[in-house]
Amino acid sequence: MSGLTLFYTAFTYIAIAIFLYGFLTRIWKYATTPSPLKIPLTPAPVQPAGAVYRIIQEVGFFKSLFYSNRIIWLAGYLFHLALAIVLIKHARFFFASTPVAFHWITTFEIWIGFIMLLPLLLLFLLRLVIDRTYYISIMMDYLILVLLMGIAVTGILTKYFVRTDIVSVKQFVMGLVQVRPEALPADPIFIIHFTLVMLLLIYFPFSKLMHAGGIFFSPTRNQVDDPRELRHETAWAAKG
Amino acid sequence: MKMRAIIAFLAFLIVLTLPFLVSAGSGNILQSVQAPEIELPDPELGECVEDVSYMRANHMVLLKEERERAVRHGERGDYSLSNCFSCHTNITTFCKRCHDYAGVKPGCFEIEEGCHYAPTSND
Repeated sequence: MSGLTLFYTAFTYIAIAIFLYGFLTRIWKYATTPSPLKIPLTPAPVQPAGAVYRIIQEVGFFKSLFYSNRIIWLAGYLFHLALAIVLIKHARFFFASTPVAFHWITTFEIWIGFIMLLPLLLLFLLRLVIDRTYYISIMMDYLILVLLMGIAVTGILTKYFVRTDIVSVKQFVMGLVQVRPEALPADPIFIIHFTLVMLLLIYFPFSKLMHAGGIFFSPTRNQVDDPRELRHETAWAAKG
Repeated sequence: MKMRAIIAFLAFLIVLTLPFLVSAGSGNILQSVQAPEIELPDPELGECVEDVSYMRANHMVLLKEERERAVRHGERGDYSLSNCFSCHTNITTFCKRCHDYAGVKPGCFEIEEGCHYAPTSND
């Protein structure tokens, strides 16, 4: 086993460990943070099922972003949709046999990487050209976009322009998944793509990318508007 | 309250570690890591049109570009599917093993919404 393979195997497990530990501790923190007050944003659902429906609208369609800024919604929604399809397509590398439920998605070829890349470019430009967003943008906001663009560009390169041998890629990735390391494919573009993804995993739990988990715990969205029907008590505030 | 936090935590744990869980649960840990063996053609038939590492990554490009040339412009060259068949005579022991491993459909053949009859005999 070459030194590079050894390094990347260790690097990958460290990155995944940081990602899982970081992500799950953040989730635990979100889930156990007390919400002492009823603060659902009105008009709010009055039944628990309504709150679930509201979360589905937020997660599935970014409803409140849609009503606040259509351009950012369009770019953001296209990006997330493309990212979801790209992730599902990557399932072929993570599972010994691709789950049957995912087969339909590999049948249509729509240059999905570009549908992921172009909205990122637009979001990057919007941050720069609109005075207000330029003023509130910090370096980390740009860093995330650049990192994601780097992943998209290298991914597009390995798929359409400097094609890589995906059988050896799968062999490498399945080796990692099944904890019996295999040789790293000697393809520089793939290695850059893989490195960027690992850097994203490491950075993920410390960044605003945690909105992926955090959106489910927003009290203004997930609370039911029933303070007159039910007394709202948090565990630490309840008497005896 | 605590119960809901635990449920939320477990839900995220399962989603994030799904590949590891499926792999550990499916029982085929031992054989599925390695790329499949394919039956190579008789070496006496000569060299392939391009070298092995190039073909592994790019064979579909050659076929697609050749199809464009042949079907749209009527120019036929070395990269035709029928030329492939002169050495690689069996879809199940050659094409399909890697394609199944990687979960990719070979787009050439009638059963896979392609145009061509797949080679099936080895003689």
